[in-house]
Amino acid sequence: MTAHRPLVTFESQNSALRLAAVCPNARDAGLAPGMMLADARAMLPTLQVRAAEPEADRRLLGEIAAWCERYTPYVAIDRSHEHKPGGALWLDVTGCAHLLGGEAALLADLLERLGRQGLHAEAAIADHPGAAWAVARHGEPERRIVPPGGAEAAIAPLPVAALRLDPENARMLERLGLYRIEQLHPLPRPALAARFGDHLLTRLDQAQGRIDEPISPREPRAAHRAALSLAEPLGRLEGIDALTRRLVRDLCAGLEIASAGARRLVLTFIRVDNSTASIEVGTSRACREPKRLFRLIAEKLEKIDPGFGIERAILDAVVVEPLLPEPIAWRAMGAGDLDQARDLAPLVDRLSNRLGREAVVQLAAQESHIPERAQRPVPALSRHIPESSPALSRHVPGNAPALNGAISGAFSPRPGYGSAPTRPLRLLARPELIETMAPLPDAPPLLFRWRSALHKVARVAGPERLSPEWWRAPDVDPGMATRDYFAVEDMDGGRFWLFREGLYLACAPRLPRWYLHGLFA
Amino acid sequence: MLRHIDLQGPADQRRRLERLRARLARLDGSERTGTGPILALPFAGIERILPGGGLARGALHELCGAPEHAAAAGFAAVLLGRLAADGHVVWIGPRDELYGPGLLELGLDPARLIVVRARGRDARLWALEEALRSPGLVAALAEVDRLTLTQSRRLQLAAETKGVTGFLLRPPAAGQVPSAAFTRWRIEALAGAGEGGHARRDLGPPCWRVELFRCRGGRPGSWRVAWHAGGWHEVADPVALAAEPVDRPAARARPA
Repeated sequence: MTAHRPLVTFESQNSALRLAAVCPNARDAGLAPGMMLADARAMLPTLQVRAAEPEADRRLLGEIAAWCERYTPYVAIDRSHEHKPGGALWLDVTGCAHLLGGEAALLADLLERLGRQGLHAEAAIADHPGAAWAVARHGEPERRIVPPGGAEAAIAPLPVAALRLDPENARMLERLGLYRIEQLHPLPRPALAARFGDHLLTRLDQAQGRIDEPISPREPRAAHRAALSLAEPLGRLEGIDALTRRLVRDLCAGLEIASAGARRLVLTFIRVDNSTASIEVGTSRACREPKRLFRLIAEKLEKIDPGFGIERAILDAVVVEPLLPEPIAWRAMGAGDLDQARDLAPLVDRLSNRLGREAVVQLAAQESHIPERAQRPVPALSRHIPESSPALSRHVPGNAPALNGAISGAFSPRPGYGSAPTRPLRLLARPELIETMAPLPDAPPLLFRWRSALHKVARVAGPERLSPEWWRAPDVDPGMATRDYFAVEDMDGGRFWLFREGLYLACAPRLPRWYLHGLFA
Repeated sequence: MLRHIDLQGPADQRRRLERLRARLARLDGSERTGTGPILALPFAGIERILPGGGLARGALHELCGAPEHAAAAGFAAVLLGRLAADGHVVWIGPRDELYGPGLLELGLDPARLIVVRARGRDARLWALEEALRSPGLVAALAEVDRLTLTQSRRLQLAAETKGVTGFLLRPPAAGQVPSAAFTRWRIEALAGAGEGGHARRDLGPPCWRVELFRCRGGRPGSWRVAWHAGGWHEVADPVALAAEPVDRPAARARPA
């Protein structure tokens, strides 16, 4: 081509360095992927070598796939041959070709634009994915568009490798003298199945269109989409704001017609240099109010870098739920907490979108007497939270689980020993080991050191013995020992929840360990 | 002819003083919050100290206490529990440590609580401001250590505008730094002041020394209180008790 030094990339395969990809100059000089790097260097001393970066390649392929969405929303990455250099994409252009003036024009436009970005690509259009795959790789350059119904004729002269077979099958076919697909036609199908397995027949049928091969697009097809292309690329933030507002309004209008609300939105900007930037936001309840959705997006909008300019923006409602207009009577009947939850949803959404869904939670009770298992955080305003804890319960302290079950999710009041709370206000994520000095093995400590501070114990309440849940599978509960919990108050008045892990004799000769699990008010 | 108005008369002086007081109250905003809805705190003599006799709603209150004692957090939980009767409350902290059963025992129903975990201080302040501006909440609390005067003023304004009661949970050293919160409290755990029960059985209800050291339009004060059976109780000063000797029969020798 030009007078560049040949360039190859290498990767480590089975602890040997082999070539992963070769440039055309290197290929002309006789190098091929799979060769040992040392041999290649010996053949061409002026070789440039770079390490192959499969991760970067994957990312680039993803970006190209995103860019290809300008032609059709149905873009999928071909994962079957990922280990080969380069990558492959499927595009379902049914019904899209006329927008660019026909299939030939679409193909030419695609290849030309990719070429302008420095990417060399081969492409073909056919009725079925299998035929398109075969023709793109092995077909004549001038005959890359297979006319409708002409798949069988088009693939007949192609080599059997065009059928996407696994290597042993391909080698065996070659050894038997079956080089081209048309040679397979006269052979009886049961014989082929017996010799090569069903895979060969499946691939043959797929290529000829007798079996359907659906391609799943990279991302689920957005049910609702609002898109806008700009004649002049947009670089200013205020312009981006206005553009986003318009898209949100259009999308919400579409959602209203469909009586649906969005739960997750993806806003993608395509820049002049064909790179993309996107924002994703979610809501806790289906929503189609333009102001609320815009506010959620606006917080992340500042992070978008317009680059050389934005020429297209697409807003997809990726997850939608039915959202019926509410009968007005609900408010009049005083649906109390339901109203409140609706009012809180915007706040919960804003907090979750900035801090993460797991950061905004409510506490739901679980049936367990083990303290750290008695509660579990659930995302705020999800449907599991009941309205409020019942006043009475049948919670039995000790080892047995709750008898007649409080409403799942609600905490039930515990019968206390007296006037003191039985459970701490703060429970540490993990009980922390403390050093203690106790007069007797079973006695609570007189002194303990926690986080480098020494505490002298003034008063103690306890012990409360909590045994492991014997009904749980042993692998879930690896060797949790019996715990004796004590509530202690130190000389300054601070109250702590300590426990001794293990019984004194059970873990002899080692002394049992003490932990601090929580803080009382 | 100009009439001379006698400006030295006591009635005039009182009137001028009243006008000046009202003007000051309008300027620093305590007029609005001082007469608004309050959360009642049945501490002895609190009507003379807090305007309205209770904790003003729609304002920012600071609670300072040592983090390794959960005393300030416990006091806050009791207040939030009272406020949660009317709606939801939000607790914003750096770590995920609140325990539902413990909260329930202090009177705060976890079903009315939303817990937000935000590691950075700025994120917590932002979350508190968002919560204070949200129409669906009754109260919001954030654990922050350092806070500038401007930030506290913003939070106080946000609380006043929407009527959401705001709380800041801070370490004791924060008491030295000025802040625009409507009231500032210091909470300490009280040692050995529990109601008894015999040893090894019951630590007694949580007892705190609650000190109001700054209040807009009010005076400082301090109380020793305990939270027990859903209500506040005064805790007697043990030193004062001991000062009064009482005739008691000597303890009988216990059988060995």
